[in-house]
Amino acid sequence: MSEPGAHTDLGAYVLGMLEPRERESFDRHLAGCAQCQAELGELQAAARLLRSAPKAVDPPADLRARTLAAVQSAAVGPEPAAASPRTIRRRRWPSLALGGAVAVAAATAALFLGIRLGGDVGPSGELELQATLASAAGDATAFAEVVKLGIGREIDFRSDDLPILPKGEFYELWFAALEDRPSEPNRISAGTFHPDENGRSRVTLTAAVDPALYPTLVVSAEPGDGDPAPSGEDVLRSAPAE
Amino acid sequence: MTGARKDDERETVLIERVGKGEVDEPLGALYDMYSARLYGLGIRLLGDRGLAEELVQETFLRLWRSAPRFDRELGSGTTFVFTIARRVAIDLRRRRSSRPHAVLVDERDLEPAHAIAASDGEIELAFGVREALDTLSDEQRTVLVLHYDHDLTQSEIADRLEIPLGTVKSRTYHGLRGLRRALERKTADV
Repeated sequence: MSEPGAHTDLGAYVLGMLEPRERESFDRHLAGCAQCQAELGELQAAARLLRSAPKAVDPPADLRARTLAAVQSAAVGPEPAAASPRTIRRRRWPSLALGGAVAVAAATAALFLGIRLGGDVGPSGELELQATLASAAGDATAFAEVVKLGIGREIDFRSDDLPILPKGEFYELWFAALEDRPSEPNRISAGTFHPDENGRSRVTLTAAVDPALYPTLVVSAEPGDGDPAPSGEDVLRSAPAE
Repeated sequence: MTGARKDDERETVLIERVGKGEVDEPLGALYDMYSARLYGLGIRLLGDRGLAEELVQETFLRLWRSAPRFDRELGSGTTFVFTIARRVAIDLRRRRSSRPHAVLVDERDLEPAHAIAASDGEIELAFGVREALDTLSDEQRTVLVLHYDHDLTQSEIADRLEIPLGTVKSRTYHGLRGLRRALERKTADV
Protein backbone atom coordinates (compact mmCIF):
# COMPACT_ATOMS: atom_id res chain seq x y z
CA MET A 1 0.00 0.00 0.00
CA SER A 2 2.06 2.85 -1.26
CA GLU A 3 0.04 6.00 -0.92
CA PRO A 4 0.89 8.99 -3.15
CA GLY A 5 3.02 10.74 -0.52
CA ALA A 6 5.18 7.72 0.24
CA HIS A 7 8.41 9.03 -1.35
CA THR A 8 8.44 12.01 0.92
CA ASP A 9 8.19 9.75 3.99
CA LEU A 10 11.86 8.95 3.36
CA GLY A 11 13.03 12.01 5.29
CA ALA A 12 11.04 11.17 8.42
CA TYR A 13 12.05 7.52 7.94
CA VAL A 14 15.81 8.14 8.07
CA LEU A 15 15.40 10.55 10.99
CA GLY A 16 13.46 7.88 12.89
CA MET A 17 10.40 10.10 13.13
CA LEU A 18 7.84 7.61 11.80
CA GLU A 19 5.43 5.71 14.04
CA PRO A 20 6.05 1.94 14.09
CA ARG A 21 3.05 1.29 11.86
CA GLU A 22 4.14 3.92 9.33
CA ARG A 23 7.63 2.58 9.45
CA GLU A 24 6.49 -0.92 8.52
CA SER A 25 4.42 0.51 5.72
CA PHE A 26 7.37 2.52 4.42
CA ASP A 27 9.66 -0.53 4.65
CA ARG A 28 7.29 -2.25 2.21
CA HIS A 29 7.30 0.78 -0.09
CA LEU A 30 11.09 0.98 0.06
CA ALA A 31 11.48 -2.66 -0.96
CA GLY A 32 9.83 -1.94 -4.28
CA CYS A 33 10.91 1.66 -4.97
CA ALA A 34 14.19 2.15 -6.82
CA GLN A 35 14.06 5.93 -6.40
CA CYS A 36 13.85 5.73 -2.60
CA GLN A 37 16.52 3.04 -2.45
CA ALA A 38 18.86 5.22 -4.47
CA GLU A 39 18.30 8.17 -2.18
CA LEU A 40 18.31 6.28 1.12
CA GLY A 41 22.09 6.27 1.66
CA GLU A 42 22.52 9.96 0.87
CA LEU A 43 19.76 11.06 3.20
CA GLN A 44 21.04 8.75 5.93
CA ALA A 45 24.42 10.47 5.68
CA ALA A 46 22.76 13.90 5.98
CA ALA A 47 20.72 12.67 8.96
CA ARG A 48 23.86 11.37 10.69
CA LEU A 49 25.55 14.73 10.28
CA LEU A 50 22.46 16.51 11.54
CA ARG A 51 22.36 14.30 14.62
CA SER A 52 26.09 14.68 15.27
CA ALA A 53 25.98 18.48 15.34
CA PRO A 54 25.55 20.23 18.69
CA LYS A 55 22.07 21.23 19.74
CA ALA A 56 21.11 24.76 20.61
CA VAL A 57 21.26 25.36 24.38
CA ASP A 58 19.91 28.43 26.13
CA PRO A 59 22.79 30.34 27.74
CA PRO A 60 22.52 31.74 31.30
CA ALA A 61 19.95 34.53 31.36
CA ASP A 62 22.43 37.20 32.46
CA LEU A 63 24.81 36.57 29.56
CA ARG A 64 22.72 38.76 27.25
CA ALA A 65 23.10 41.80 29.49
CA ARG A 66 26.80 41.09 30.10
CA THR A 67 27.46 40.72 26.38
CA LEU A 68 25.61 43.88 25.42
CA ALA A 69 27.26 45.79 28.26
CA ALA A 70 30.68 44.68 27.09
CA VAL A 71 29.96 45.87 23.56
CA GLN A 72 28.27 49.05 24.76
CA SER A 73 31.29 49.89 26.85
CA ALA A 74 33.52 49.13 23.88
CA ALA A 75 31.36 51.39 21.74
CA VAL A 76 31.91 54.41 23.97
CA GLY A 77 35.65 53.78 24.10
CA PRO A 78 38.01 56.22 22.41
CA GLU A 79 39.05 54.24 19.35
CA PRO A 80 36.82 51.23 18.79
CA ALA A 81 38.14 50.31 15.39
CA ALA A 82 41.78 50.68 16.32
CA ALA A 83 41.60 48.79 19.60
CA SER A 84 43.50 45.55 19.45
CA PRO A 85 43.06 43.26 22.44
CA ARG A 86 45.37 40.70 20.82
CA THR A 87 48.41 42.84 21.47
CA ILE A 88 47.43 43.17 25.10
CA ARG A 89 47.01 39.44 25.47
CA ARG A 90 50.54 38.79 24.36
CA ARG A 91 52.00 40.91 27.08
CA ARG A 92 54.18 38.92 29.43
CA TRP A 93 53.20 38.56 33.01
CA PRO A 94 55.95 39.79 35.25
CA SER A 95 56.39 37.34 38.07
CA LEU A 96 54.91 33.87 37.82
CA ALA A 97 56.70 33.16 34.57
CA LEU A 98 59.95 33.30 36.50
CA GLY A 99 58.90 30.37 38.65
CA GLY A 100 60.11 29.14 41.99
CA ALA A 101 61.35 31.35 44.74
CA VAL A 102 61.36 34.46 42.61
CA ALA A 103 57.67 34.08 41.94
CA VAL A 104 56.90 33.54 45.60
CA ALA A 105 58.92 36.59 46.54
CA ALA A 106 57.22 38.65 43.87
CA ALA A 107 53.81 37.41 44.98
CA THR A 108 54.51 38.31 48.57
CA ALA A 109 55.75 41.73 47.58
CA ALA A 110 52.72 42.32 45.41
CA LEU A 111 50.46 41.29 48.25
CA PHE A 112 51.81 44.07 50.39
CA LEU A 113 51.60 46.50 47.55
CA GLY A 114 47.94 45.67 47.05
CA ILE A 115 46.45 47.27 44.01
CA ARG A 116 47.85 50.05 41.96
CA LEU A 117 45.44 52.22 40.07
CA GLY A 118 46.40 53.95 36.87
CA GLY A 119 49.82 53.22 35.49
CA ASP A 120 51.30 52.75 32.06
CA VAL A 121 49.43 54.07 29.10
CA GLY A 122 50.30 51.78 26.24
CA PRO A 123 49.53 52.27 22.59
CA SER A 124 46.75 49.69 22.66
CA GLY A 125 45.16 50.24 26.03
CA GLU A 126 45.53 51.80 29.42
CA LEU A 127 46.62 49.60 32.28
CA GLU A 128 44.00 50.66 34.73
CA LEU A 129 44.58 48.34 37.63
CA GLN A 130 46.97 45.65 38.76
CA ALA A 131 45.86 43.50 41.63
CA THR A 132 47.06 40.60 43.70
CA LEU A 133 44.32 38.43 45.06
CA ALA A 134 44.83 36.20 48.08
CA SER A 135 42.87 33.64 50.03
CA ALA A 136 42.00 34.40 53.65
CA ALA A 137 44.52 31.81 54.82
CA GLY A 138 47.17 33.26 52.52
CA ASP A 139 47.82 29.90 50.87
CA ALA A 140 46.58 30.87 47.42
CA THR A 141 47.24 33.90 45.27
CA ALA A 142 46.31 35.19 41.86
CA PHE A 143 47.25 38.14 39.71
CA ALA A 144 44.97 40.29 37.65
CA GLU A 145 45.51 43.18 35.29
CA VAL A 146 42.66 45.33 34.11
CA VAL A 147 43.27 47.13 30.86
CA LYS A 148 40.93 49.80 29.60
CA LEU A 149 40.61 49.39 25.88
CA GLY A 150 38.50 50.87 23.16
CA ILE A 151 36.42 47.73 23.62
CA GLY A 152 35.83 48.09 27.35
CA ARG A 153 37.84 46.50 30.11
CA GLU A 154 39.86 43.42 29.53
CA ILE A 155 40.99 41.47 32.56
CA ASP A 156 43.96 39.15 32.36
CA PHE A 157 43.76 36.78 35.27
CA ARG A 158 46.17 34.08 36.30
CA SER A 159 46.62 31.76 39.21
CA ASP A 160 48.31 28.43 39.81
CA ASP A 161 46.68 27.89 43.17
CA LEU A 162 43.00 27.31 42.46
CA PRO A 163 41.98 23.67 42.86
CA ILE A 164 39.97 22.01 40.11
CA LEU A 165 36.32 22.09 41.13
CA PRO A 166 33.84 19.22 40.97
CA LYS A 167 32.01 18.92 37.66
CA GLY A 168 29.34 21.57 37.19
CA GLU A 169 30.99 24.08 39.50
CA PHE A 170 33.07 26.99 38.27
CA TYR A 171 35.02 30.02 39.40
CA GLU A 172 33.67 33.49 38.85
CA LEU A 173 35.63 36.74 38.93
CA TRP A 174 33.81 39.74 40.34
CA PHE A 175 34.34 43.46 40.65
CA ALA A 176 33.06 44.26 44.13
CA ALA A 177 32.07 47.59 45.64
CA LEU A 178 33.56 48.67 48.97
CA GLU A 179 30.32 47.87 50.77
CA ASP A 180 30.20 44.34 49.30
CA ARG A 181 29.42 41.83 52.08
CA PRO A 182 28.80 38.08 51.87
CA SER A 183 25.33 38.65 53.29
CA GLU A 184 24.68 41.57 50.98
CA PRO A 185 26.76 41.25 47.83
CA ASN A 186 27.31 44.33 45.70
CA ARG A 187 29.39 43.09 42.82
CA ILE A 188 29.42 42.71 39.05
CA SER A 189 30.55 39.57 37.29
CA ALA A 190 33.48 39.71 34.91
CA GLY A 191 32.93 36.13 33.77
CA THR A 192 33.52 32.54 34.71
CA PHE A 193 36.44 30.19 34.23
CA HIS A 194 37.95 26.82 35.03
CA PRO A 195 41.57 25.91 35.74
CA ASP A 196 43.05 23.53 33.17
CA GLU A 197 43.84 19.95 34.18
CA ASN A 198 47.18 21.08 35.61
CA GLY A 199 45.37 23.47 37.94
CA ARG A 200 46.49 26.54 36.02
CA SER A 201 44.06 29.36 35.41
CA ARG A 202 44.93 31.71 32.57
CA VAL A 203 41.96 33.65 31.36
CA THR A 204 41.18 36.88 29.60
CA LEU A 205 37.77 38.19 30.50
CA THR A 206 35.87 41.17 29.22
CA ALA A 207 33.73 43.36 31.39
CA ALA A 208 32.05 46.72 31.40
CA VAL A 209 32.79 47.68 34.97
CA ASP A 210 34.48 50.81 36.24
CA PRO A 211 37.09 49.73 38.83
CA ALA A 212 36.84 53.17 40.39
CA LEU A 213 33.33 52.22 41.52
CA TYR A 214 34.00 48.53 42.08
CA PRO A 215 37.58 48.54 43.31
CA THR A 216 37.92 45.04 44.79
CA LEU A 217 38.48 41.90 42.77
CA VAL A 218 36.95 38.73 44.17
CA VAL A 219 37.00 35.15 42.95
CA SER A 220 34.21 32.88 44.12
CA ALA A 221 33.61 29.18 43.60
CA GLU A 222 30.07 28.95 42.25
CA PRO A 223 27.93 25.85 42.70
CA GLY A 224 26.62 25.80 39.12
CA ASP A 225 23.03 26.11 40.28
CA GLY A 226 22.03 28.22 37.31
CA ASP A 227 21.63 31.25 39.53
CA PRO A 228 23.49 34.19 37.95
CA ALA A 229 23.63 36.02 41.28
CA PRO A 230 26.59 35.35 43.55
CA SER A 231 25.72 32.13 45.35
CA GLY A 232 29.13 30.60 45.98
CA GLU A 233 31.93 30.97 48.43
CA ASP A 234 34.62 33.62 48.03
CA VAL A 235 38.03 32.02 47.66
CA LEU A 236 40.27 34.95 46.68
CA ARG A 237 40.04 38.67 47.28
CA SER A 238 42.20 41.68 46.54
CA ALA A 239 42.78 44.67 48.76
CA PRO A 240 40.66 47.49 47.33
CA ALA A 241 42.40 49.86 44.94
CA GLU A 242 43.43 53.11 46.51
CA MET B 1 16.66 26.86 -4.92
CA THR B 2 14.22 25.79 -2.25
CA GLY B 3 13.03 29.29 -1.38
CA ALA B 4 14.67 32.38 0.01
CA ARG B 5 15.09 32.83 3.74
CA LYS B 6 13.24 35.74 5.24
CA ASP B 7 15.60 35.75 8.19
CA ASP B 8 18.59 36.26 5.94
CA GLU B 9 17.48 39.71 4.89
CA ARG B 10 16.64 40.51 8.50
CA GLU B 11 20.09 39.47 9.72
CA THR B 12 21.79 41.39 6.93
CA VAL B 13 19.93 44.56 7.87
CA LEU B 14 20.71 44.05 11.58
CA ILE B 15 24.43 43.62 10.92
CA GLU B 16 24.44 46.69 8.69
CA ARG B 17 22.82 48.70 11.48
CA VAL B 18 25.49 47.51 13.92
CA GLY B 19 28.08 48.52 11.33
CA LYS B 20 26.65 52.03 11.32
CA GLY B 21 27.15 52.35 15.05
CA GLU B 22 23.88 51.14 16.58
CA VAL B 23 24.44 48.65 19.38
CA ASP B 24 21.66 47.66 21.74
CA GLU B 25 18.68 46.96 19.56
CA PRO B 26 20.18 45.30 16.48
CA LEU B 27 22.86 43.47 18.46
CA GLY B 28 20.28 42.34 21.01
CA ALA B 29 18.13 40.98 18.18
CA LEU B 30 21.12 39.14 16.73
CA TYR B 31 21.95 37.82 20.20
CA ASP B 32 18.41 36.44 20.49
CA MET B 33 18.73 34.75 17.11
CA TYR B 34 22.17 33.21 17.62
CA SER B 35 23.10 32.87 21.29
CA ALA B 36 21.51 29.46 21.93
CA ARG B 37 23.10 27.98 18.82
CA LEU B 38 26.49 29.43 19.68
CA TYR B 39 26.23 28.40 23.33
CA GLY B 40 25.29 24.86 22.28
CA LEU B 41 28.25 24.73 19.92
CA GLY B 42 30.48 26.05 22.70
CA ILE B 43 29.37 23.48 25.26
CA ARG B 44 29.87 20.61 22.86
CA LEU B 45 33.07 21.77 21.19
CA LEU B 46 34.80 23.38 24.16
CA GLY B 47 33.30 21.12 26.82
CA ASP B 48 32.96 23.89 29.36
CA ARG B 49 30.22 26.33 30.30
CA GLY B 50 32.66 29.10 31.06
CA LEU B 51 34.29 28.78 27.65
CA ALA B 52 30.89 28.48 25.97
CA GLU B 53 29.94 31.81 27.56
CA GLU B 54 33.22 33.27 26.32
CA LEU B 55 32.43 32.00 22.84
CA VAL B 56 29.11 33.83 22.84
CA GLN B 57 30.46 37.04 24.35
CA GLU B 58 33.60 37.21 22.24
CA THR B 59 31.65 36.44 19.06
CA PHE B 60 29.41 39.45 19.62
CA LEU B 61 32.35 41.69 20.49
CA ARG B 62 34.14 40.69 17.31
CA LEU B 63 30.87 40.94 15.38
CA TRP B 64 30.49 44.51 16.58
CA ARG B 65 34.08 45.30 15.62
CA SER B 66 33.80 43.66 12.19
CA ALA B 67 30.31 44.85 11.29
CA PRO B 68 31.54 48.02 9.51
CA ARG B 69 33.37 45.74 7.08
CA PHE B 70 30.32 43.54 6.41
CA ASP B 71 29.39 43.52 2.73
CA ARG B 72 26.12 41.84 1.76
CA GLU B 73 27.48 41.24 -1.72
CA LEU B 74 30.17 38.95 -0.32
CA GLY B 75 28.04 36.63 1.77
CA SER B 76 24.98 36.24 3.94
CA GLY B 77 24.59 37.57 7.45
CA THR B 78 24.49 34.02 8.79
CA THR B 79 27.77 33.16 7.13
CA PHE B 80 29.28 36.32 8.59
CA VAL B 81 28.21 35.46 12.15
CA PHE B 82 29.27 31.82 11.93
CA THR B 83 32.61 32.68 10.34
CA ILE B 84 33.42 34.93 13.30
CA ALA B 85 32.14 32.38 15.83
CA ARG B 86 34.14 29.60 14.21
CA ARG B 87 37.36 31.61 14.57
CA VAL B 88 36.57 32.39 18.19
CA ALA B 89 35.84 28.71 18.86
CA ILE B 90 39.14 27.66 17.32
CA ASP B 91 41.00 30.28 19.35
CA LEU B 92 39.33 29.16 22.56
CA ARG B 93 39.91 25.51 21.74
CA ARG B 94 43.60 26.17 21.19
CA ARG B 95 43.81 27.97 24.47
CA ARG B 96 42.15 25.05 26.21
CA SER B 97 44.17 22.33 24.53
CA SER B 98 47.56 23.95 25.02
CA ARG B 99 49.70 21.54 26.97
CA PRO B 100 52.59 23.37 28.57
CA HIS B 101 55.48 21.01 29.24
CA ALA B 102 56.99 23.01 32.05
CA VAL B 103 55.66 25.46 34.56
CA LEU B 104 57.99 28.07 33.15
CA VAL B 105 56.21 28.07 29.82
CA ASP B 106 53.47 30.62 29.48
CA GLU B 107 50.66 29.27 27.33
CA ARG B 108 50.65 32.55 25.45
CA ASP B 109 54.09 31.67 24.14
CA LEU B 110 52.92 28.42 22.58
CA GLU B 111 52.48 28.28 18.85
CA PRO B 112 49.02 27.66 17.39
CA ALA B 113 50.47 24.39 16.07
CA HIS B 114 49.80 22.98 19.53
CA ALA B 115 46.15 22.89 18.65
CA ILE B 116 44.82 19.49 17.72
CA ALA B 117 43.96 19.34 14.03
CA ALA B 118 41.08 16.92 14.57
CA SER B 119 39.46 19.37 16.94
CA ASP B 120 39.51 22.07 14.31
CA GLY B 121 37.94 19.54 11.98
CA GLU B 122 35.17 18.87 14.47
CA ILE B 123 34.60 22.58 14.84
CA GLU B 124 34.43 23.00 11.06
CA LEU B 125 31.99 20.14 10.76
CA ALA B 126 29.72 21.27 13.56
CA PHE B 127 29.61 24.82 12.25
CA GLY B 128 29.17 23.45 8.72
CA VAL B 129 26.00 21.58 9.68
CA ARG B 130 24.64 24.61 11.53
CA GLU B 131 25.33 26.84 8.55
CA ALA B 132 23.91 24.32 6.10
CA LEU B 133 20.69 24.30 8.13
CA ASP B 134 20.51 28.03 7.69
CA THR B 135 20.54 27.75 3.91
CA LEU B 136 17.17 25.97 3.98
CA SER B 137 13.84 27.73 3.61
CA ASP B 138 12.34 28.85 6.91
CA GLU B 139 9.62 26.17 6.63
CA GLN B 140 12.03 23.29 6.12
CA ARG B 141 14.55 24.47 8.68
CA THR B 142 11.89 24.93 11.35
CA VAL B 143 10.72 21.33 11.00
CA LEU B 144 14.25 19.92 11.19
CA VAL B 145 15.22 22.17 14.10
CA LEU B 146 12.09 21.30 16.09
CA HIS B 147 12.96 17.64 15.68
CA TYR B 148 16.67 17.96 16.28
CA ASP B 149 17.02 20.79 18.82
CA HIS B 150 13.80 20.12 20.69
CA ASP B 151 13.28 16.37 20.16
CA LEU B 152 9.70 16.82 18.99
CA THR B 153 7.93 13.97 17.20
CA GLN B 154 6.27 14.59 13.84
CA SER B 155 2.82 14.81 15.43
CA GLU B 156 4.08 17.30 17.99
CA ILE B 157 5.65 19.35 15.19
CA ALA B 158 2.36 19.24 13.25
CA ASP B 159 0.50 20.46 16.34
CA ARG B 160 3.04 23.15 17.13
CA LEU B 161 3.05 24.56 13.59
CA GLU B 162 -0.63 23.82 12.96
CA ILE B 163 0.11 22.05 9.69
CA PRO B 164 -0.97 18.58 8.46
CA LEU B 165 1.25 15.61 9.24
CA GLY B 166 1.86 15.10 5.51
CA THR B 167 3.31 18.61 5.29
CA VAL B 168 5.68 17.88 8.19
CA LYS B 169 6.86 14.78 6.32
CA SER B 170 7.35 16.52 3.01
CA ARG B 171 9.19 19.45 4.63
CA THR B 172 11.38 16.98 6.50
CA TYR B 173 12.18 15.19 3.26
CA HIS B 174 12.94 18.31 1.23
CA GLY B 175 14.82 19.85 4.16
CA LEU B 176 17.06 16.83 4.50
CA ARG B 177 17.72 16.84 0.76
CA GLY B 178 18.54 20.52 0.90
CA LEU B 179 20.87 19.89 3.85
CA ARG B 180 22.69 17.20 1.89
CA ARG B 181 23.12 19.53 -1.11
CA ALA B 182 24.35 22.37 1.09
CA LEU B 183 26.87 20.10 2.80
CA GLU B 184 28.05 18.87 -0.60
CA ARG B 185 28.57 22.44 -1.75
CA LYS B 186 30.53 23.11 1.40
CA THR B 187 32.77 20.12 0.88
CA ALA B 188 33.27 21.19 -2.73
CA ASP B 189 34.25 24.68 -1.60
CA VAL B 190 37.03 23.45 0.67
